[in-house]
Amino acid sequence: MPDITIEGLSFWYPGSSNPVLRSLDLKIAEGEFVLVAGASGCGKSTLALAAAGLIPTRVQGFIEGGVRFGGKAISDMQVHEISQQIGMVFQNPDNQIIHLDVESEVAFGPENLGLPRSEIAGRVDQALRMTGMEAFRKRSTFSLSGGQKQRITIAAMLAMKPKVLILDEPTSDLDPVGTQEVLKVLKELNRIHDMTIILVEHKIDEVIEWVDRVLLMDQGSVVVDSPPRQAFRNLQTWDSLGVIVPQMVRLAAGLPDIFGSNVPLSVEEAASALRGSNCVKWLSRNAVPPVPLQPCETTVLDWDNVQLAYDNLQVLHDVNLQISSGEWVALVGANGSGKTSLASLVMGFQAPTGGSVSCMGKPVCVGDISMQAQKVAYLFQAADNMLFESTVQREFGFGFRHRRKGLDGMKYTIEQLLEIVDLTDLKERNPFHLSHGQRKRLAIGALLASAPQAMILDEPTTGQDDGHAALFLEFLQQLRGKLGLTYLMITHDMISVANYASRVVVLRDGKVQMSGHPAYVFAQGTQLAASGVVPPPVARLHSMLTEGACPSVCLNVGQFLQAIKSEEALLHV
Amino acid sequence: MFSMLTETLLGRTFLGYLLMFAVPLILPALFVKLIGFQGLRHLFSYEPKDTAIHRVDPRLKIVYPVVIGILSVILNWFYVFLLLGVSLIPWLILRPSLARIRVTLTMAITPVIGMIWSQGMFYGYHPGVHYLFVFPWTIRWFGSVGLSIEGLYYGAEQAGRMLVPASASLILLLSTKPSDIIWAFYKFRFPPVAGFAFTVALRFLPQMIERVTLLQKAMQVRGYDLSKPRWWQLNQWAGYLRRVFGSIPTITMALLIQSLRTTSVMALVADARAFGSEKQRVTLQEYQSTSADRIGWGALAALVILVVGLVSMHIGNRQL
Repeated sequence: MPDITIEGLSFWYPGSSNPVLRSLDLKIAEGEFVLVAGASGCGKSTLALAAAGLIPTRVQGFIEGGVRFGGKAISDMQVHEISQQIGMVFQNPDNQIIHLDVESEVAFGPENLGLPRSEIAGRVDQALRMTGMEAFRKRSTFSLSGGQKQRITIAAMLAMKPKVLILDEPTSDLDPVGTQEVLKVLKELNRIHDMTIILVEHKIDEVIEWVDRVLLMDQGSVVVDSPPRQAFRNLQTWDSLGVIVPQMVRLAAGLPDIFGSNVPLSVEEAASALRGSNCVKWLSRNAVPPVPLQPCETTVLDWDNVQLAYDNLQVLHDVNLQISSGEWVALVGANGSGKTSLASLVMGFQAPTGGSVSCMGKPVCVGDISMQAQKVAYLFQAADNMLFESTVQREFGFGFRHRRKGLDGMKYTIEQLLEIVDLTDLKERNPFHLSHGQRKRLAIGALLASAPQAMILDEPTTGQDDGHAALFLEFLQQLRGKLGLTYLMITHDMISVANYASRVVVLRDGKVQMSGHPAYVFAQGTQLAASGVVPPPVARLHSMLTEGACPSVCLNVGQFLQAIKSEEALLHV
Repeated sequence: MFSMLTETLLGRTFLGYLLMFAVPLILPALFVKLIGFQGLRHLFSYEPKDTAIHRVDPRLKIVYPVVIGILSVILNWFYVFLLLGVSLIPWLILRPSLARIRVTLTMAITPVIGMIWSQGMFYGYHPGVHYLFVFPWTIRWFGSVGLSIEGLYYGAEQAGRMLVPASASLILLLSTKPSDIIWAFYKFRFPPVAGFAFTVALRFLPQMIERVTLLQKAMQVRGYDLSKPRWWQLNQWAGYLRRVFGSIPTITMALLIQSLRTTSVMALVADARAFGSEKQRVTLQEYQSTSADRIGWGALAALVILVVGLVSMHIGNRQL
């Protein structure tokens, strides 16, 4: 199988004087599984597009240098020729599916190539088998889950029989179950079918154990290019770029006496290294101080015996949930477990089919969303959908101009709102020229105009790299402290839950399965697995080391190290 | 009481305004109540089922609305309604879902009522026209003499002519997979791009409707009031309608930007899957002609022959 060779590759988008890629020189050997990491805007996706031959043929710009596949310049090949050598899978499966049924979707590429019918059938069979989707062959693409849809887009590319598969954040819109489905397929394609995989991904923790090589990019250049165990030798490089390293790597760096130069890439590897040490004993004894839940003082949001059904489909079953003032509640569960439906009831998007929903002690008025928005703000997953104006300042003016008559005056001025979300210097900027995190901050600022007391955050970290996500969550934390807000956060990001939530509520098939402090909930690994929730690696490690005997687990590496080191210190006293 | 309504100026004025404005006000309300924007996704999307209509040759399903549309033009209104009856036979075989029936019927009946009403009102003044109700001078400013019988007839005829091809076209959308539509376009030697565009439009329509709903929610979350007043809160309806119409440019712009982004990815995907790279396109499924196809083609041919025969004998043809 041929190599991909990138020679002196630089690329400028039209109208930009700064190159997105700067004189890149790389060689990716056949059968390699390469992870491309880096902060947003570092050039990862552009590199993927260039390697797939879509730059400059389909994405315009100025290019220097080039990409060769097996000695042949990609620029001399047609896109359909390239796609039979190098396949590309994008982020959102919904934007990549052309047909309405699985078989037609996978057959689309080979059909376009004019191959004999028997060959098309063979390729469809093989592609579906390689992605574990044979059973879905006749299914409508609308009926598939996110993970299944992404597996179909991979199968559709595999049917072109490429030798290399390039994937640009293929799991960013997926829940943990969907993410695992896709990553498992990639692992098998690489290990069993010896396919070269180039994966652009933020979820380093979940993929690092399978990759052969890690590329860390910054400002269009590769700053780290090593096998995974050597890639994290200098954690400062990663930290300075705002790219979060795997928790097990961070843990090993904090326990050099135990790990030495062996960098664990998975929870199992870390557990195996720690088993012989005293850590297990110490963790079992007093790992995490019990964290009592705050007594319920003022209930802000209240779901009382709530049921919700769409035709014959029961989405929520007798949900009883109260959220008190000042809480940061994380609502977690697999896709389709009813998280968004539950939150939407409190905004008045729809009426429950049973029970009642109230906000600040008053029943929610269904359909009167703008009135409800005075009490509860709702940050959509795609905050871009909430921005309608041409400048940041005008965006804040939107709420002022369209405010309902008869309501009290605005609590904040536009200047105050700009200051709260730290966008004063960018007030004349077009919202769509801001970074992802800035756009989210702008959307939050726009929502704060009506001074709500609670905020629903729908996947607030999706689409952001770890560093920017952490900054955004820190911003939310500060905002909460400053304005006394109550948060209900719908998320699949368990590290965020561990670091910020005061309570986590687990939904499964429309029922509340668990509710409690994350330290306790993340200790219930078996129940969580059944609900499609995967605790953070450090929590899993804690559970694994104590064989599930601990009622609570450490939520981050700092806590884990502190628990061990405090015991160690006691021994030395 | 009735004589007071029909014989006094006040009563006739009241009746006149009722006739003039009731229909245009009721129809949008009927549409929103029975379908809503979300309901539109049931109208233009494929409904997977295993019926004879689903299995029939896609080429026949493309030819069928074209042929039946032409036939509806050459027939007079009575025969057009007979043709409409014929065009309902595939629907009986198709057995669509209740949601689909509700949406389709509402979408069909709403313009039909509108068309009959408008023709009844604005058929114009001709000698020999009979009026069910003549407007008093207090409403003549609206430009209508009254509600005419001939106008209502003409409206019904036009409605039938509109319903026949609409009914036939929806059969194609409901029962044909986009891949089969592309195949049929290819077999007809139409440009494959046309079939592809058609397919992508079908694929994205439900998503676009979802996006509009999402954008409406986002505007409301930002404080834009789109809550509907109760029917008796008459003083609030004008403001509500103003806000609804005022939201259209904002939503359209956002929708346009999002759609452009989505289609650019779709274009990359189509290129990457070699769309348009070969002149000769092969399909995985080669359509095998069945007895249902032969019956379908035969029935369509018989219908054409029957209509042409009738028209050539000056039976059922339009009076020009």
